[in-house]
Amino acid sequence: MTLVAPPTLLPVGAGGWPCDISYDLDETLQQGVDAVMMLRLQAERMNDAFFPSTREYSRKWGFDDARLRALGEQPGAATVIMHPGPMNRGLEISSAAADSERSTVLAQVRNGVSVRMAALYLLLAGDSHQQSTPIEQKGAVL
Amino acid sequence: MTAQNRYLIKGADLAGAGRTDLLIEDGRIAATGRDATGNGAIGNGAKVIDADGLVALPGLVDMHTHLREPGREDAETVETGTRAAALGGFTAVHAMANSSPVADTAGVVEQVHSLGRRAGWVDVRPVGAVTIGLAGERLAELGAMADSRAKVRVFSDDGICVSDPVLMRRALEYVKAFDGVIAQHAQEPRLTEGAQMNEGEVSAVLGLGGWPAVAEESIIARDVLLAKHVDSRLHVCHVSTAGSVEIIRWAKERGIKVTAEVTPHHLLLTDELVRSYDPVYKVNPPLRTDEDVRALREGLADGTIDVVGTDHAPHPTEAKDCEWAQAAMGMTGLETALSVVQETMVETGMLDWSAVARITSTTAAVIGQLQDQGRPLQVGEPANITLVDPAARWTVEPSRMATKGRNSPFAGRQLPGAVIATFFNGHPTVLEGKLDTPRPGGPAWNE
Repeated sequence: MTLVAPPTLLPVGAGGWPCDISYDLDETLQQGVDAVMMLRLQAERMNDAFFPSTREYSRKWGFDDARLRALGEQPGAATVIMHPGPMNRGLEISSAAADSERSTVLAQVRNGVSVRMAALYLLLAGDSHQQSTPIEQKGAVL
Repeated sequence: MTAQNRYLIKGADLAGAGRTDLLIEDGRIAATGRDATGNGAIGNGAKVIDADGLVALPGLVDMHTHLREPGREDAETVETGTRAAALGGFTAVHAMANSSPVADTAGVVEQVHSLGRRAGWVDVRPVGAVTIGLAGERLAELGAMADSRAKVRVFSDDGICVSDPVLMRRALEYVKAFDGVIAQHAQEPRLTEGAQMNEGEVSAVLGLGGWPAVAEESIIARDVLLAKHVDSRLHVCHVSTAGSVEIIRWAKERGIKVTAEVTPHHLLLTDELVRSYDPVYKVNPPLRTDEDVRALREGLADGTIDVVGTDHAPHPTEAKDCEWAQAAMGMTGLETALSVVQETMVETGMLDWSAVARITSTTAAVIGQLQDQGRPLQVGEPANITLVDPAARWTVEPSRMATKGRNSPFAGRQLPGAVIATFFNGHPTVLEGKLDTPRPGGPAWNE
């Protein structure tokens, strides 16, 4: 698992997570990945100095036509393209990528409904919750 | 001479200076040691308090209390907040200015002061706002508050940072006229927009908005340099990070007039607790990391941090019994402060009881210029005395507290040390660990 984003969008403290972190989407894609999932760029992120402009974001971190083409030139790359939706077409993902044969976006969104239904059902119909004793013990310097 | 105002404390440990007896008469310490027990004191009907095994401290002085009145009497009143203070061993509290209306005029500080006089549990010292309405735009009438019956000497926009550097500079300069001090809530506002908890490994996992240490440290760095430049007194409220301790240590080494406070909760608790999403752990500045807790304890032990201030911040249940992001920030602290200090500083061997007297009473009285508080327990001094049983162990139960706030982060935790008695100007406000009676006196306008 590799997180690829501008440093401003990666949480402080993510360095200790069990994953790799990269600021270079092309380099990561060249290493060959089974799946690449874009996440929706929220509107509020666009106006608070997280990156200079949506165009620069799109050029550096968007899955655009050029990156889709580069994937096609990789021998034997079976990489699937994912996105939880809703998509900002032309920003973090191009229409060609979103609608390509590699895309599993529609299935992913459909499955997401089932997963949410299951989570809500478990939470609302579940048994009494666990006590948080381990956290309490961990949260004090003794 | 009546029996009501004569008390003989027998066999108290004077904060490490050995066991002695203390005779209290008419609000002052009339005799100590053999002079107290001799002289026919018992025969004269002095009430005897057996202090065998108890430590006597000068009455505790809190630099940082939210009494909520006027305006938020649903959260706390001067009466309930000062009852809690007395039970916690305090004889004086600094009441923060973020009431409604804000304590930014002579009228409001005099109101809070006289409410404290009427309650009679502790000396209530109002803190005046630095800027009108805590808005950070124009200086409040600092001189009028200083000249008022409340004789304000500590000014703070606590809850909000005086972030404008020019305004902070002017405030620091202006209060020199009456030897006041600006108590800064160090929080760079732009760096903490939407902040919910300490920014670090835990916030990264929980996805809650981060409150980075640098937002506190950058303001403290700026303010100590401003205090140096204009040669004024700065007090830093609720220091919470290792970096802040370093900056204050640096400033003190250079003779800058800065004092600093740490809260009991920042001495014990860490941001790991936020994983529970229980808003009782939501506080500003937020709970930090193990490393910060250790640096704060070391700073308090070596004198970099001068005092413990509770930042007692009661909230009604509905402000805490909700989702994390919606919850109010703050914790109660008056009735647990001394026990947490014992747990974190005394039981760890970092401080002895005479140093506890310094950080909980003496230095706070000097910073706030309270002449009758934080005095040594000697003949002729005002009888503001707290008796503590260091051997006691108790389990924190917020529902049994005198404060209206039920938001204690120590609920269910066993803590060492119990306040057995509190004498406020010679009057016992607490005896046998329970509230006794307020000191008769009445509102200030009667005197």
